[in-house]
Amino acid sequence: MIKPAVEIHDLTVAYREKPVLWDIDVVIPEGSLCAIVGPNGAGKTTLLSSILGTIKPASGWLKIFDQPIEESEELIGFVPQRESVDWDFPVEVLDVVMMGTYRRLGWFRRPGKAQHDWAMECLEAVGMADLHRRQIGELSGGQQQRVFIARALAQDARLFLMDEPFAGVDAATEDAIRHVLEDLKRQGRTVILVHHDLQTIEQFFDHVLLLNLRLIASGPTMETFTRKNLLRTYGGRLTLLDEAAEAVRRIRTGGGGGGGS
Amino acid sequence: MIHLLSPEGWEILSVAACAALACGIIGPQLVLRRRAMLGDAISHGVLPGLVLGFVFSGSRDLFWMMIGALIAALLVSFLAEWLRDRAGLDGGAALGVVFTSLFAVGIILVEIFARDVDLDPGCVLHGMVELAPLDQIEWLGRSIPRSLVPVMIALGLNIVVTLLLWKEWKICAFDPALANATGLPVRILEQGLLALVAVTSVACFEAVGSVLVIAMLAVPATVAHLLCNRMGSMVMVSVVVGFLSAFIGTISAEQLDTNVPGMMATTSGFFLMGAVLLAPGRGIVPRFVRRFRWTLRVAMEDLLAEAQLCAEKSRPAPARQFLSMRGLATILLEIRGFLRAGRPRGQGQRIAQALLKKRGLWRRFAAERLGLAPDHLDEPAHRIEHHLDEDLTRKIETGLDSMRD
Amino acid sequence: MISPNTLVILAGTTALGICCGLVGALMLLRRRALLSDALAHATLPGVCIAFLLSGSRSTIVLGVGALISALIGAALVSWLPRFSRVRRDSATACILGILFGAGIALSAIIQRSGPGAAAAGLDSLLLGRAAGMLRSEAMLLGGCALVMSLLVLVLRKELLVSCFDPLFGRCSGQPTGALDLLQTALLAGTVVLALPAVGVVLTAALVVIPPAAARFWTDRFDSLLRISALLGAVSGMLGTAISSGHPELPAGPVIVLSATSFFTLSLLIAPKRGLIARKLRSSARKQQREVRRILHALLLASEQDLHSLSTDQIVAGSVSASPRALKQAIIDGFIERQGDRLQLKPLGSERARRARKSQEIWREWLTSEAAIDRDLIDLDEEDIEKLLPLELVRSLENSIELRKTTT
Repeated sequence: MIKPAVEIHDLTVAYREKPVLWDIDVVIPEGSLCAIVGPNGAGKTTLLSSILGTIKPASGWLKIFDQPIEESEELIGFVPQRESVDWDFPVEVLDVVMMGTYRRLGWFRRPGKAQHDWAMECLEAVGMADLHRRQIGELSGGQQQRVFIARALAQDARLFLMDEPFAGVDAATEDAIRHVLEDLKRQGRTVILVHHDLQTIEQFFDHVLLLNLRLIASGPTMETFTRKNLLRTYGGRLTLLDEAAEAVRRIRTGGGGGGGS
Repeated sequence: MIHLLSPEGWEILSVAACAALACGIIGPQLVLRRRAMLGDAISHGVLPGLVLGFVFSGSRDLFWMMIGALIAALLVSFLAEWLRDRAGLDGGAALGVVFTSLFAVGIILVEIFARDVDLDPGCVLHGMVELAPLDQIEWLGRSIPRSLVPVMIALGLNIVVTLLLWKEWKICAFDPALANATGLPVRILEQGLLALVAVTSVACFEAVGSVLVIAMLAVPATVAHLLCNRMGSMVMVSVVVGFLSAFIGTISAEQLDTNVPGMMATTSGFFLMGAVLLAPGRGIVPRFVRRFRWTLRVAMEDLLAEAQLCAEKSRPAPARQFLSMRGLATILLEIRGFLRAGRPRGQGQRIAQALLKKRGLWRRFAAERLGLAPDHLDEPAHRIEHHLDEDLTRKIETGLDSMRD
Repeated sequence: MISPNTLVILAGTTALGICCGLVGALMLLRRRALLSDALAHATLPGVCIAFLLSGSRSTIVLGVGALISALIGAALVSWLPRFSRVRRDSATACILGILFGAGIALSAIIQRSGPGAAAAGLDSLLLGRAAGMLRSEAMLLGGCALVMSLLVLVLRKELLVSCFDPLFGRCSGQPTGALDLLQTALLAGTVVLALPAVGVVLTAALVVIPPAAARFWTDRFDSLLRISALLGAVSGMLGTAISSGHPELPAGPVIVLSATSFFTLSLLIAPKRGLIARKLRSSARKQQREVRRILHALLLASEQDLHSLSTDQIVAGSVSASPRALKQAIIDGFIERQGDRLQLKPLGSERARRARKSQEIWREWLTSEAAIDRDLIDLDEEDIEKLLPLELVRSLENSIELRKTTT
């Protein structure tokens, strides 16, 4: 029986009192390469943040490797979207990757040769080893992406979360990322990533999660990534559900009351 | 009629109020553009300009000091922008480097030139509005404080320019990209704004001191930002708050025998605190109250529904709780007569039945149409029945009926 | 020669410069440079209240009052944007103005109730009085500089993550809240320490200017902290030295202006990020481009069987290259001059061909992949070779070949 890497039960997350994720119930097995797919605003980044623990759900719970998320000691390697980084910061590529080693290193201890070599190895894995002294603002978009993937690798985590790693990168970076993912899968690690390119899902991911405020479907790609499910994710409009969500928001932000007799 | 102010007090108030009004009109433009610290920068950076103007004219002739200050103020904004854009320095740091250096230059100039005269640095910081009544000039046959003149000029200028450039400034503030695209001379408009801020600071220097201009530019505008959603109302609220700060500040300064600008700033601080706490809709207190009332309402409805179910099934009434939301709900329901001896009565019965009906409808809808698993239906996030109004309830009903066909 | 008193002040201001430089670097990286100005102004009510409550003018009492007041100000500045619509810069400006105004009002009350001694105290608060620095104060400053340097050394990586990527820190189990609090406390403490020496406004100067200057010299976190501390220290030393020779000038502003001169110097002469270096780089590139144009013109001519061109044609004609570029091309061995005619050498011909090829590849990519008009972009071949990955270059070369053979 494959152990679940991530187990989510009835997760509901709200932002400004409007539901962004509703009743998500899913199990992602360990060792799988899982894509989260859905239209804009479907809650994909929110789902990642919930697994990461930075967003508190309105109801429901999550477990990472069978431990409740609050007590989870597991390192999760997280690769954020490129827009959220300060590229002007005086830090070099190697410094960023070494950040991945800090937690295991512990407080008050300076990174030594071991950390340095390990960071260089991770940079090798993404093909960026010769740029290790570059300031991060001087990299191209794809190279920047690879640096943050290297940082996640340096964390040596069991679970990796990536937010649109393939968005707007050049061919070389695409290849590099693909190799990294294949390596991770070979090592038995779990990777969950938000992906936007529907063409490449089937050839590459063994598990897929279709999301649009609610979980439309999830499971092995073969069975889940069907035309019917895709239509429901991208095409269908659950009007009454939208209206109810709007009603919730309106009432909660002071629109007065509905209800009563 | 309570004697609010001495006659001198009224004159002081006139100067202080006009200064506050002038700042209040232009302040929102800075706040909306996230440049609130520019007031801080200009207020400090004008010092060398003031001193040089004083030196140049050989007397405390306001005109030359103004010119010097204006040049210094424009230098501050120009240099800071240049450092930010050409040298790649962070915006706040660029501003900081420029105005602190200029201020240092100013202090040294003061020490060298103006030591034995009245231009002591403390006054630079907090002004001398209390002395306004002592220095009067003739104007249209009446005697007014001399320091009122530049303030009124600034006020007039601000009103005129704001009215003239209203639409243009609004676009520049909210959507600079659009402004550029529609061919507006954004740079000139922004420089114009900076010049106006410079003029206002300099004009109010004598009234409230260069440093307290910061408070008058920032605080009323921030209060307005908290309370309003449109630029028009923002400017009006900012002006009103500024005026009230001046009014209350002057009175309290006289009562407490202290410094007028200081009390103006403190008063504006209370306004800010009030706005943060009590802004309708957004304030901390209204949000808390709203959440409390909602939780209470849900508790009351749930309690009624549960009591109704118990009554229908001839079960004993739900146990009474005390120290909880439920306990409070019970008390309130009993006071209103909706609940008696654990059973719903009258209006309470009607509410309970309506709720139960909505709950049933929603559960069916969720199960049949949305595919919610049965064990999820009782989670709080799915108890939508409290949010459904008449309209939505009817829609769900018809929706479910149509499914059956 | 140097009086012991001056030595004391020198030691004190140098230590102060180190503290300000270190904490200022952290603030610069977090984009909170002007918070120092707000906190400096926010100390005033605290000082006044401490005086009113205790009746003593002891530095420790007033210092504690200032510290508490500054911490409250810092708390409000970070609290306001989190719990309301107020933005960070508005919050900073408001807290600055309100607290300082309250302080002014309180100090006026103090002045009215007591004789001039209190007023003198206020003045020195506003402008500083480094000349009156006591040995104990200098030792305190020295101790703080030491503590701060140790802290930065020991917590280096935690501070780096906290400034650069707090989200990552939180996910990695870092106590981000505690670290934020620590940095704010360090800022408040530094500001309180600086007040007696340089006064309210100039405190902000010492916290903002050295790090800004240091930024021009380095692209690394550690070096930034080190250089910033160094510049702060040297500014303190230089300022004190100059001011001691001119007793009519107060030390505070002179220290600040020393820092400003270092800033201006750094702005101009720093390698790589300094303005002069940038200008030199861009004129070097401009010259390179002119050389390439010369070579290109000669290559074209040689393909039309014109094996040399007159100098005038190069300088005045459509190429319009400067004589300096011409000289450069000769020095580099690309062309040779024979009388008044210029001829392409083999090295130059090879260079010209390589440049032309890269341009073609680049334009091909732009039109086919990025759909941009041909003549709009003009890049050097080094850039092209760096930017486009090898396989892409090859496939673009193929399509160029394909187009040439089919047209």
